[in-house]
Amino acid sequence: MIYFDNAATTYPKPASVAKALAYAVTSVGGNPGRSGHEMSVRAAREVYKVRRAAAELFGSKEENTVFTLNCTHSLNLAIKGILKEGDHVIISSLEHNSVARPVCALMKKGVECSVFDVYEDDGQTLEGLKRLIKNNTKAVVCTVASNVTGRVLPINEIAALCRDKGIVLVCDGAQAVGVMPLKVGNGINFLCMPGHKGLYGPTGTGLLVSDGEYELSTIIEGGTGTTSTETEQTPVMPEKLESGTLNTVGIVALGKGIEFVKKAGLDRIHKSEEKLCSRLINKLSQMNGVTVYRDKGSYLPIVAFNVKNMHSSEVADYLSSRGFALRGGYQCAAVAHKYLGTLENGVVRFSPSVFNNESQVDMLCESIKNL
Amino acid sequence: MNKRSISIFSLSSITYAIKAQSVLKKEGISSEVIKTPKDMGKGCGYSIRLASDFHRAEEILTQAGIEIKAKKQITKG
Repeated sequence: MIYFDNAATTYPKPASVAKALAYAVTSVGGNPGRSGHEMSVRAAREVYKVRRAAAELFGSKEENTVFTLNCTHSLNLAIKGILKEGDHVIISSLEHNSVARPVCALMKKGVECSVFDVYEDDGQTLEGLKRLIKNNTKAVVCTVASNVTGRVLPINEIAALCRDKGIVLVCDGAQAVGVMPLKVGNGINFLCMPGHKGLYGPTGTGLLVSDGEYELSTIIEGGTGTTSTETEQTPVMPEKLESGTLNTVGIVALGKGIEFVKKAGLDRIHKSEEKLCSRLINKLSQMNGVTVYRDKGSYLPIVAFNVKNMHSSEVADYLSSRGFALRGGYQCAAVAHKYLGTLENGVVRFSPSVFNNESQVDMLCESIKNL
Repeated sequence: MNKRSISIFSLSSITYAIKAQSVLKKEGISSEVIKTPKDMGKGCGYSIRLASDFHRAEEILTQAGIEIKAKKQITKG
């Protein structure tokens, strides 16, 4: 099967990641931060190495780099850790359910929410966002780039606005990390991400990185290996947000994924994937009845399309039967599909990785032509 | 008879203990991560133990923004 569903999770993983998984299972056996014996300390050292590598990549400090299970977990920690009853939050019209659903849950507990539209013109998007800011606006939570279409939001301008207004900015970097340069600071207070997408780590890994300006309250409490005689949660980061045993095996392998991305270079990764997207868009635009969801704005290497009036899941099923893995349906993004006007048929999503090539795109196009 | 000195710094967490070890290593000071001795803190916790360099190590850790929860120097011999 030719895999074009890397926005869901990247596949294949680099050989170094697979090797690190085996190494961690067989050789990093202790529980990090729980005991004083050599195996436990060694595991903690391995975890710290990855924490430091991630902190470097995203402009944070080790103590503000929290390991999570996935991007949804990171977003829940950030959103529910910052918003309280009476606060107002603003999200974008392109959000994934990992933002929309936690916010929806908080609305039942007295948090107000507004949605800003993402226009073709970034200036118009910013103006719309500005108009929604109120006295009780505590946070803006938005994706860096849509997981449906790849549309990139004017995140630096949004960050500057939030910084000026003293508003917390929580960014969903699910599709953007590993493809475009992103760092916390300069208005970006929290950056949430999966480890298993653009960072090429295994599933079950994620990161919540912050600039340290705002403190999060906890939504999960438990064992942290420190102050164990007290029932109150430790206030010390990152352990405060990392209750329970860490996914040491996944984290060690994630470290190799981060190393792979650093070595390949974000610019090179982006260019190689965008080249495949351009090739696909060019070929799709020559086919009758194919709609590609792109405007003049900036995009990450993701292409959303539909064929004739078919439901996107039917198209994806057909392509699967021809040996291609693409995601149809709604990509867990109800808000985005409502805004895009694609609630009826969803979209087919093409998302390449560095391991794909042009001839694979050409083969895919031949199959789409037969529909 | 030679006197041997051991320094112990109790830190906030395992992350800070490993960070402290890493910061000191860059400055040429070797240390080991240990569980915090009973007389230096309540409950579970982590410390670093090093031979000598007490004041220099303290200065390096403070400059690196690593909070020292407790410290002690033991002289033997």
